[in-house]
Amino acid sequence: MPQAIILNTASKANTTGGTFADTLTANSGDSLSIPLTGDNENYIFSMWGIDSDSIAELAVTDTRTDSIHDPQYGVRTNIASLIPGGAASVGSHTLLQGPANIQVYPGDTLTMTVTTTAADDVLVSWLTKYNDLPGVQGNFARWERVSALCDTSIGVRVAPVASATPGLYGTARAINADDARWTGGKYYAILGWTQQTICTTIAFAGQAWGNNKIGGPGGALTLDTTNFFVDLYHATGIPCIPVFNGYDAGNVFLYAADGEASTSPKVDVWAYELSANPLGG
Amino acid sequence: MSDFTHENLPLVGKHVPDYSTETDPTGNKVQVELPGEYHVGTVIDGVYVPLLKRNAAGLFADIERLKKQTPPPDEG
Repeated sequence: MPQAIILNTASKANTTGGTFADTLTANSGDSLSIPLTGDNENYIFSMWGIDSDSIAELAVTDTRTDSIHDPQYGVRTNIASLIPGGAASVGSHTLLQGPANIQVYPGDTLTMTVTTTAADDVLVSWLTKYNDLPGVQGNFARWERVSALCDTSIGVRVAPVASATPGLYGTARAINADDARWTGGKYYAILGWTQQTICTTIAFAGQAWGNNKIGGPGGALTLDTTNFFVDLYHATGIPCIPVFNGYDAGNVFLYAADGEASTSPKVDVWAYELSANPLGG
Repeated sequence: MSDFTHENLPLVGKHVPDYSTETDPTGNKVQVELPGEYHVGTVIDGVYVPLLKRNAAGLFADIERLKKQTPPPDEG
């Protein structure tokens, strides 16, 4: 069974405010539940988020004390949303970055509560790596194969727009909706992306990857995402560079999620066109 | 004598909307306006200098929320 890295996001718009008074809800298509896995080698190793208007604090809990210390507050982590540049100008803050991680167990469910100021919008995204996740085996490659098979480089504009409800993903934007230069029959490896405008999270999903999301932060402090998936592979050792065939471009989608409504980050996707399928198919 | 070459600079603000190209139900491309950003800046010898940019959607939501919370002035 394959290793996998999956992106999930939870959010709440228009919080009540107060000490851990609001609980985040998983975004559409995402989940706070840990899936059934072949072993217990499941780790949340990257997490980021934003509060739209104020500083905030997040508490991540689940039911296992061998995962988080206790179910009262678990892992508390700050969201310094006013640094740098003030409210609504940061996009995302890093809340957890490997090698530190939180081990999570199949069948368990995460609970995320936040301390906020009333009427704020909060959004948290995280990456979980699984050593043995049954299900669809997505088309993800190693950097060594991608690099060896590179024919040419391409940067392609894709312009997803975040939802009008802060925190939620906007409408899926096909990777060929704004720039259709992908060639049918050719394999492409997505290395990373750049953005014009900050937002909290950029997500990729497609049939080639089992429709699971993968992606990263889009905030001001982490805008060096040109090699995001290559860096992710080097950090984890898990083949995680998304690969798709140009014929499939209409089935590859980008999503944006932000602490503000209707943000349009205007993504340029960095990719290699490959001389062959790096997965050997 | 002051070292300043300009004093009493104005503080100005403007809404800078963003745009997205979408496909309408008939398949035609249409330009849709998005909230974009709100810029606060100053003007130096006619040149606008932005000092702060923030997402406009949240600001406008805050303004609308404040309007609802503020009781209307007494008339008469």
